[in-house]
Amino acid sequence: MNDDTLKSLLRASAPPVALRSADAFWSAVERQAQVPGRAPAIPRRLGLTANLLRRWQAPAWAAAAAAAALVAAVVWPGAHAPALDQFRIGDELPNNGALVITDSDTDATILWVITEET
Amino acid sequence: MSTNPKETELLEKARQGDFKAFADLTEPYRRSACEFLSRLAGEDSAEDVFMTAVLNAWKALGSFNGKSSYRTWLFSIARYAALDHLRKIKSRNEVSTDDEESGANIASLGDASATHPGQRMQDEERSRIVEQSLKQLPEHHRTPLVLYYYQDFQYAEIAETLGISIGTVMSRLHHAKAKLEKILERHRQDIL
Repeated sequence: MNDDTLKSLLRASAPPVALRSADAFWSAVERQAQVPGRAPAIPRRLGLTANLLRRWQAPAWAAAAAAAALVAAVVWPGAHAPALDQFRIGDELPNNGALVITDSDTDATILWVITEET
Repeated sequence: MSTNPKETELLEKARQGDFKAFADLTEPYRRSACEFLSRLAGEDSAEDVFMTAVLNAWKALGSFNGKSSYRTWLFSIARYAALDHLRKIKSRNEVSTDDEESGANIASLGDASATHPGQRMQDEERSRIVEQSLKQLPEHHRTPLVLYYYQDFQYAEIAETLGISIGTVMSRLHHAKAKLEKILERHRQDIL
């Protein structure tokens, strides 16, 4: 079926759409809009602000909570967050300038090689 | 792009809060938009859905940037209103399954005295078959097809209305047409 045939068929089969008169329709719209003679209700910036607030509220709270947890971990290092607050200096230091820091809670080890500029 | 000077003037006034200008700007598209919506949301709801769309358009007029024509912008809003309407109906589990009744309503809108009863029945039957065939297409195929064949939208206008690329429009139209032809083929004797 070519385009013209299909178009003719579709249009010939289109049921009529019953519409109100223009006056009746637009009066009803104006009543519902409830803004006769006033500017469209388009507080665009406010709308955007509200949307932004809605969108970022949860992440903002999550970020605040994470920051609070981090501060707590620093101030109270004995808390849950792993902190390298207990370490020993490795035996290697006197010989080759390597510092071994070991977290006793987690057994995590950092090897810190100290170099010297001459 | 809104190139019609009168439309541009009305748009400017409407943006400043002139409701009459907004009505004058939108009224020329009311019938075609309602016809479009009748194929998306059903003819009984078309004008109500269009009213919702118009209210949304009035509220959002400040966000219309003029990159597309006012018509495509309006149809885009109308389409969203139709989809929203269908979602609400679906969520209320009130989807009309009485297709026969719908077809009868469509047919009853015809002018009974205009044609011979036999011819009229044939027209009504054809109308019912075509409308039902259209309803069998998924929305993403039906909408571009309706815009293209009923509303004479160009590919670019359909792309703007639906927020998709022109290539996608062409692809969807191709598939929609193929599907529709396949459905209509079963009723070839009744419609041609």
